[in-house]
Formats: sequence, C-alpha cells, structure tokens
Amino acid sequence: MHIPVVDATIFLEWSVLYISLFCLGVLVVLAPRWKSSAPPSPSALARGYHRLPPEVVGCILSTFEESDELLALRLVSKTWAQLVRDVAPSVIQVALLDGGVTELTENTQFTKSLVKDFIRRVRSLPLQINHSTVWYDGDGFPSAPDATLRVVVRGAGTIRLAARRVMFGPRARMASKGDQLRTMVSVGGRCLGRFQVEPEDLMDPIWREIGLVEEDRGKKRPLTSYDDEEDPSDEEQESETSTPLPMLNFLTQWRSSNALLPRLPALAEAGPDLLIYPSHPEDPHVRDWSFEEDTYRISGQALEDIRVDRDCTHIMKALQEKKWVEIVHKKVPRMPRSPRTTSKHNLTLGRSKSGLISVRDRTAAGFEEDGWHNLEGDVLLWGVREDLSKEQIRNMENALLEMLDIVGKRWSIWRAKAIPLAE
Amino acid sequence: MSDTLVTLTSQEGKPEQVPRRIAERSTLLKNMLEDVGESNQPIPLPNVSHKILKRVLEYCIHHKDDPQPPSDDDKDSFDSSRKRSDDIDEWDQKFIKGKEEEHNEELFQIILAANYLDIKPLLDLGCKTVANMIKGKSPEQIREMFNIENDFTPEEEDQIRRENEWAADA
Repeated sequence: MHIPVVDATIFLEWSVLYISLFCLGVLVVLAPRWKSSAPPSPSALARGYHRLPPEVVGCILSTFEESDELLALRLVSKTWAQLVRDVAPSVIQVALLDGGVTELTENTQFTKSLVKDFIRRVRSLPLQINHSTVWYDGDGFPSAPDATLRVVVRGAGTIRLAARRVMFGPRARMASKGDQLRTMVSVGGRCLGRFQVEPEDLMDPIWREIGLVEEDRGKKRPLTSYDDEEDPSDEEQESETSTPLPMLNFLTQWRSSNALLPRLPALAEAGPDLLIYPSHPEDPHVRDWSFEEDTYRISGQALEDIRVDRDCTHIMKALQEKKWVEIVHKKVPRMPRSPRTTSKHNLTLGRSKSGLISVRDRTAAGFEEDGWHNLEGDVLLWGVREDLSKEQIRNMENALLEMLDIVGKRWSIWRAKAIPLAE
Repeated sequence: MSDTLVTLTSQEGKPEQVPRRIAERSTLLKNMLEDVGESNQPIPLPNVSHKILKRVLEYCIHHKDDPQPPSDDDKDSFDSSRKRSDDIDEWDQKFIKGKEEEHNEELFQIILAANYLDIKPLLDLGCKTVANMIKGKSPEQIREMFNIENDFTPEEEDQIRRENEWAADA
C-alpha cells in the first residue's frame, strides 16, 4: 500500500491558510455585532448634528432644566450658550416687583450685577410685552420692567418664578388660578431652568400692597383691569359696589409714601395712561399757591383740556366714565398766557407758541439730581381718550413731556407710552 | 375625502402612496393639500430620501389617531409638556431606535425630515432622543460627541461657572 508522503512545508502552508480563512470567517460573522455594541460613532453623530438647523438644536436644548445640565450645555460653545439663552419660550410679561433689586439682592443670592443682567435678559426675552415701562429704584437702575415677576428661592434646588400677567395694556389679562404657567427663564445669560408660575398664591399680597386690588369689599378686583370683553353681567353686578374710592385711597397712599413713587410709570400705563405725581399738601412750597379752577384749551388737535382743579372730583369722574382726556395739574397757579416766573420757586409756567404747556426751571442749577421733588404738590393726571388717533396721542405725549421737561432725564425715562386704544 | 390616496415623491423620485389622512399628519403636506385641493399630482419631497420617507410614514400611520398638536398660534405658550425628555412612549422609543447600526445616521435624518415636513410630535421625539444622548455628559464629552470646537476663553468659561454657582446652591 502506498502511503503518500506529505511534505512538511506544504502541510504547514496549508495549515496556515486554513487557519487564516477560519479567522477571517469568524471576523466576517462577528464584526457587525461588535459594531452594533460599540459606542455611537462620533463621526455619525457629528455629521448629523452639524446638519441640524439652529432652531432644532434649540429644541433639543430646551428639554434640559437642571442647572448642572444647563451649565454643561452653556459651556460647550458660545453658540450653544446663546441657544440655551434663546430657548426661553415666549411667555409672559415679567418684571421685578416689590422692592426690586434691593430686596432681591438682600433676600436671595443674586448679586446686583446679576439682577441687572437678569432684568436686561428678561426684557430681551421674546415676551408679549405691550409696553416698556421701566421702574427705577434708588440705585438708579431699572428694577421693574413691565409686568410682574418675583423670583423666590425656596429650599434646595427649587427656584420659583411667580409671575402674573399684569393689566397693563389693552390686551393684557390677569393670570388666574388654574393657569399652570411654566416657563424657562434665563438669568444673566444663564438658563435657570423651568419655573412654575403661581400667580394667585404669590401676587395678590403685592397687588394689595400697591393698592391695585380692592380688598375691603370682600372681592379681589384689579382696579386697572379693563378687559375689552368684560362680562356685562359682571359689570352690572359690580356697579353697585364700584366707587372711585379705591383710587382715592391710592392717592392718599401715594401722598403718604414716596416709596410708591417708582411704581408711577406702571400706573401710567395702567390707566390707560396715567401719571400721578406725588402730592404733599404740607409742602411749604405749595401751601401759598393760589388755586383756581379753569380750563385751558391748548393745541386743539393734541391736548383737549387742561384743567386746574383743587380736588380730585373730576378725576374720579373721569375714571368712572373712562374718559381719559384730562390733564390735571393740581395745586399750581393758574397758567397765564404769557410765561411768567414764580418768584418763590423759580418755575416758569407758560405755554409755548404751539400752545403746549411748559413748566421750566429758570435756573437749571436749582434742580439737582433729585430736582423733581420740587414739583411735589402737583397731581398730574394724563389720560388718553379712546377715540384719539395715534398722532393725537403722540402730540399729547409730546405736550406732556414738554410740560415735564423741568425734571429732565428722569421724566424722559419715566415717560409713559401712549396706549393706542383707538386701534 | 380623507380616504383618498396621496402620492409623495421622495428625493430619489420614488413614489409612495398614502391615505391623505396619514399625509396630513404633516402640517406642510396638510397645507399643500388644502391649497391644491383635489389633485392627483404627486407631491415632490426633495429633502426626504425614500428610506426616511417610509420611516416617517410608519410613524404617521402609527399615530394616525392621535389628536393634532395645536398650532403655534393656538398653543398656550406656557405649555411645557413637550419639553420633557423622559416621557417617550414605548413604541416611539423602539421606532426612533430603529436598526442599531443605522441609529445615529437615521435619527438625524428623521429629525430633519420631521422639521421639513413640520411633524411636531416626531420632531419632538427626535429632539428628546438626542437630548437623552447628551444628558449627563460633560461639556468636553458633548463637544467630542458632536465635533464642536470650544470657542470660550478660560476666563469666559470661569465667568459662566461663577454665574451658575448660586443657582446650584439654591
């Protein structure tokens, strides 16, 4: 029997070949599984990510709410930091209220610069802001833009934003119980997370404090709410109890506390345009002034009437009738046709050629930083009648500003925007 | 009318017929169909591949009975329900996961298609899925994951960290 003799070299070569083929086969079979259990391919993710439009990336980032997660996102890149900032949804009118910056900085861990930045940020949010009122506190920077907002730090990790749509502006409405308002607000460029808004729980005390809620009648009612579509039955029901008293109370309160002064511009917007200047009957500057009641018609197309009145009777009437046409300049001398100077106060009261009233300080140096206090004693109510055109309102505003020129920048900051109710 | 078939043509020119009701899950298609009215003309979708179109339609068929999401105008701006990333239902999870080997590539294509076709629930699903991939990662890991360049200076980074401190402490 012939037994073939295999060359050792050939045997070795074939063995290596078989083993190699076997290994290759194993690789082919198992490779996909290895691939599938491998971590996500960075390149595929990156490719996918870079194709996404910014709004979609923003949508992704908007799902985050924990502060550490948000910090991580903000630290990825400037673009992401911006996107995190931008994902705050368009939500509510917000503002700081109740002590504004000072209280916030005292009662929370906010720094002043952070709060300032916060305000700036809030104001830059795509909010449904009808007006742009800025309240100034003693520190000289805005403490309360637009509606209301209060940041409350409660316990570990819980930051709540109490907010309420305020009644400023024709389309605004009050937030009410049941409004589960949740939003995300970025503070100082940082998205703080999601906030639960609990309007009723937190805001009513504030409204009571500033006298905008009628409490005594057992009915909480915002005095400045003027929904276009008021339920007539409600109106009827309230007519029995509704009196101008609350506003009178407010005026009293106003007189008694300069602390309310910063809220003036907000009121100006609430009224629909209402400016009330603090009145101090005891002020020696005004005690000797004569009071005359008269009506001036100036700049026929702009200001309808200027009344000098010794009390608030017609203010109340106007409030009741919602005829916002008067400018009431209380406790100032009758305005002559030609400018004159009041010797005691260095005030020039008069009318310009265009017929607009001007109240000027003859010696500008006499008015220092807080020169506006010199006008204490005036109660100035500015209203906009509903049927006035935008142009008329603008003229009215200009007239008012001219009148208020005496207080310079502060008033220009405080100027109330005319509310185009005619629209 | 809702039972009529609509022909959608993918990027590759391949037609796909679906009931109008299904197609109308896409706001884009819904508007187009309303504008065009009764027409047998195929609707070209040059931004969507046939493969992704089929996946999107699979989603639309599964969710055909879901209520239409409110439009942006109608939607209460305070609604934050769609912001959560931990409320994805089981079917959606399986759907978006797809075939594992193609997951990442396909995920972004689905997101893009949902964005283009304006299918909000699907877009949200995609976004939540990507968000879940990001969650728990450090900025460095996120950058690496998405190949994003860090354009912050150390000072800027430090500033952001400092700003965040009080919120973390609260």
